[in-house]
Amino acid sequence: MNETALIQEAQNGSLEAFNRLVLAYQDALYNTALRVLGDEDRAADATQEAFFSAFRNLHTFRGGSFKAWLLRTVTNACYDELRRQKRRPTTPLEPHNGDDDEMESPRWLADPSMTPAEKAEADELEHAIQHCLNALPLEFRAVVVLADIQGMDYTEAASILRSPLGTIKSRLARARLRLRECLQEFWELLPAAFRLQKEAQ
Amino acid sequence: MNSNLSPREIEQLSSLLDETLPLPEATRLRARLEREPALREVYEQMRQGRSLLRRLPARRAPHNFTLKRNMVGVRPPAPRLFPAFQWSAAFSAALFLLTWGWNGLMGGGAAFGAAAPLAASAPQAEAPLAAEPLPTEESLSIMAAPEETPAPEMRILAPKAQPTALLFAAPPAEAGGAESDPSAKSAPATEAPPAGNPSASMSPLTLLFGGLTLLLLAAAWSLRWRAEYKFRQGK
Repeated sequence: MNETALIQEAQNGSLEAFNRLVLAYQDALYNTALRVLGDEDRAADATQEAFFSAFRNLHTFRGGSFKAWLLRTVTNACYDELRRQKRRPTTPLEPHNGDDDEMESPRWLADPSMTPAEKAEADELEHAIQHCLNALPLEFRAVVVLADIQGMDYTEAASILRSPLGTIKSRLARARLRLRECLQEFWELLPAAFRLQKEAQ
Repeated sequence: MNSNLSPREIEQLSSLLDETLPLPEATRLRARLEREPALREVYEQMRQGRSLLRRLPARRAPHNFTLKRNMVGVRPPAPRLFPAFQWSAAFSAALFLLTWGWNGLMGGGAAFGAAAPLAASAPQAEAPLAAEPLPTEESLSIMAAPEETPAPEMRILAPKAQPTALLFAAPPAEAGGAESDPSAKSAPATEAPPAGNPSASMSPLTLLFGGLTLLLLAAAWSLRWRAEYKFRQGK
């Protein structure tokens, strides 16, 4: 069954059809929430809340990019989560494995083709990038995540964030500049190709 | 270098990166990048940052975010026959109320009609008593004699359950006998049923509609319960 038919069926009240859409888009929504919020548990909460909201408001979807519509829902859920976080700040706990030891890297990141050293480096780089993302103001962060991580173009990002096109362009440019400045602090963690390029300059 | 770049220049560099800059502007900017190393460095670092973001590992969702029926309050669709039973029960209930009300009106009228002769005859019974002069000793002695005569008649009449009107419609000569026998006077009062008694207005048709209403409601409820049970079981 194609996506349009699934959406129509879901709009007619079919939970099964909606859940098939959930399975198709849950990774993209979770990733977006994770990069915006910087915390796995909050990202999971925001993603679940986004799907609840999507199901309740499915009748408002009038066509176009369903992915963009869902990303808007999860972005709003992230904003709500951050507002809740401001009211009740909590310290995120490190995830534990079955032996109650703290996990340094999530299991689902394990890539069998990478050596332990490569995995550790990749993990550190990811933490560095996420640190720089977290340092951005929320509105800049959301634009960067949608444009550079989710691959949305300016028009889609403007539609998702309900902002003018000019504002999106401006925020994306300033966000990239700030990221550049932040990543300079982690230059040693950058992949070799980037370091060589910099040295060549 | 950042302090030397205007917001417009930064935005142009970002648009050049995304290849959304109009061609004339893009050509001019590329020429500047060739001439100005500092500008080129900023551009390259923005490009690297975007490349790193794109290379971030795409995380899998930690679990499925599919929704359950009880999470979203989805109710099962009503069975096809449910509306038919619902409307039938409503119609039957309306007929029940209609027949009950009708019977109540008609039955109350009949009861009131039965009581009328009783009420009409009561003053007649009272009138001779009121009009009768106070008995003297002579009249009492005369009246004492015919006492025995009406008594057998009354005894005969009572078991037959004569209509109340007949008892008081008897000739005034019996009024004295009635007076001396207070039970005859009071008995009619207890025999007439009270006017407008609901239990007297429940005709068979009313009971039929009442029973039908309950039956239809029970069937509708049973259908609904069965559908919800199957829905919860995931069928």
